[in-house]
Amino acid sequence: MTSWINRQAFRPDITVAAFFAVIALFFYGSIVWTFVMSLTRSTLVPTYEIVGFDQYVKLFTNQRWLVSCLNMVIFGLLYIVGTLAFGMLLAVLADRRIKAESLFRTIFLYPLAVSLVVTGLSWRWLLDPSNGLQALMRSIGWEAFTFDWLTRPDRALYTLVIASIWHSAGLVMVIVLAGLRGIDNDLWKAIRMEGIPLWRAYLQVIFPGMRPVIASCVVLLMSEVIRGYDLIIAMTKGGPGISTEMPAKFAVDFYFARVNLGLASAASIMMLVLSLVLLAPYFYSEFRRRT
Amino acid sequence: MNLRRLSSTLALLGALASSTAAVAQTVDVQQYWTSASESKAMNAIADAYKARGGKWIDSPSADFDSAIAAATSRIAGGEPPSAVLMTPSGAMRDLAKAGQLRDFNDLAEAGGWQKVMAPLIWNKLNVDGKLVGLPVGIHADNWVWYSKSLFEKAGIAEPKTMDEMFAAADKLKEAGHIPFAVGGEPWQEVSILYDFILALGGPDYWNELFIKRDPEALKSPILPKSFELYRKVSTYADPASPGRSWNDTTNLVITGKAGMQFMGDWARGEFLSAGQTAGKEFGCFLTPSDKPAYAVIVDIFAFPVNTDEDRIKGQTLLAETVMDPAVESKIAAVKGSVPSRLDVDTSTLDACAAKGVSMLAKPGEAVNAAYDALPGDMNGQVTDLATQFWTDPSMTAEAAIATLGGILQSQ
Repeated sequence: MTSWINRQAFRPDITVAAFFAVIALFFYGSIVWTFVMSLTRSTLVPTYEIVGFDQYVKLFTNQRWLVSCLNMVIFGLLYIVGTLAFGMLLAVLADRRIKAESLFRTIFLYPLAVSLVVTGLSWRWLLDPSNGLQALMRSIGWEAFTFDWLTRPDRALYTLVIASIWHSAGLVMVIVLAGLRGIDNDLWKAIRMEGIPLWRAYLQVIFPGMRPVIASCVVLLMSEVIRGYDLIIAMTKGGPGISTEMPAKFAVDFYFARVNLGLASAASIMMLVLSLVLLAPYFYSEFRRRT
Repeated sequence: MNLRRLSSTLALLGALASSTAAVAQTVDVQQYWTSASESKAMNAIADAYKARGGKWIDSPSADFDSAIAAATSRIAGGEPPSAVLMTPSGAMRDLAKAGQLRDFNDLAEAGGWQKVMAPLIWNKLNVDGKLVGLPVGIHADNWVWYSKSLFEKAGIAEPKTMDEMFAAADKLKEAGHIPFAVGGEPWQEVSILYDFILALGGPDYWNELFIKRDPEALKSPILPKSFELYRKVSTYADPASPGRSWNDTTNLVITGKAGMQFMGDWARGEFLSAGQTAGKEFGCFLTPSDKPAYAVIVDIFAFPVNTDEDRIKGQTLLAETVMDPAVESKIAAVKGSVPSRLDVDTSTLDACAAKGVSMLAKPGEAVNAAYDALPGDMNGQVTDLATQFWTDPSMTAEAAIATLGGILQSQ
């Protein structure tokens, strides 16, 4: 029996070909179909009559879409920078051979195990001015305490940033910590011999050497930004007004609740373009380094 | 051995499944009636249906939008629910035009349903001569609900004009109450805007603006005035308003924390389920106007085409259940709606419902609410605009009207 299996030549090409066929069909096929849909006036049911780029014109004259895109950029920048900073700080602290390191690691990684819906709901309750943190502070005597960002159109977006950083900082911590543990001991010896202060050692020697690790974190976080949906639904539902709308929510709303397949497809294609544009510099630098 | 046990288990399950399918008439109902009064109404339908021997599968969603989203994705995915609770909106017409909805012309003819429905309702439910939706109850959007006790304490009489209403709001504010309880969700905000346009313009203007979508109507001074009043209401809202659901908001009026709420008469169901009576603990009036109007919203069941024999029979049974006058009056009693059949006894309805029945009977006063009147995603776009105007005080009425014009003229 086993000898029969051994006699069969292993054909990786066939295995891989099947895999690529599936990917091509369901992944790229869907993208092509979505693109075709974005060129039609389909509402609930797909129609295949091409009308050109009408839906894109509609999309870019739609105030809600423009606000969504702007929100995504602001949210994305703050979230990525904030999560990296906080996660790296935690990693450095954990790296200093503190006591009960694994306990702290678990505590900080734990939010990642909580679904985004639960994260959003908890933070909504926590930040709700009438029965959350603000009410608590006032009830224990700090009458002037005000933290009503969740219900302020110009601040609500930042509450999403806070909740997401809380959610993802642990992930960055673990990845960066793994990177730190891979640093050669000789490097540390050299740093000690030169007498470089610790903060400079991390900022100017250790972290610059960990570029690939940090780049992976950025890509991971960026994908969270682009598909950001569940947290918003649970926390603000896009409100107050349209102040925390995001492109993914726009697409889902228009696909289903507003049954406008054409416009939603155009939005999805633009999201794809947007992510390619955002990721292009990263791919470019990686490619250049290799050649 | 294991394989044999597995296959026998599967066979047993299969036998069970097919045996239950053979006896029961099944409906899978996609619905969003989740508040206290709403779920009572849905249970009334489900109980009547089960009493007739049907099997009820409940597929609830949290709100209207997600119910429609679930239903359309199920239809698109080839697993349609057998009934969808919705309104006769653009989505219903799209589904009907695509041949996705079962028509009930045969049952309607046998039951003489056209004769027992108001023409405005009947016309909404027919697409290309096919009856594609069955009415569950009739609501109207342009009601204001108020707390009798707060009004009495502040010495306010029921407002008859717009000025009196805002004067009442000021008095309530002075007394330390929330004058207008508003749930800051886009759909709740936009309905306040619609209330003002309808109250200031009356039914004729409403039909020109939203049904005929006449560009001339956009130039009327009614629109800037409506946006101005709408903005004015936003200044009375309490800080906890953003994102609050409509029934939590109604609860503020029920518990005497807030004076008034702009809300369709499904709010009446919440007062009733809190044990309050119309005219005693709470009162109601239509948005004050010298051109009375009644913005009708119908709750309907639409029945996506199903192929399974058992589910088709289930749809027929549910259709008969929903159109039963006894069931209709039961729904109206718990949910705050007005029965959609004209032959249902309305003498037992309370003061607010009676007002609604009389408005419906007067020709020319009942108009289609914007949910049903506007095609495609137009209502959604107006909603986006309204919520922006509500939350962004720097947006001018002129800019909003220009955007509104663009939306209404886009098709």
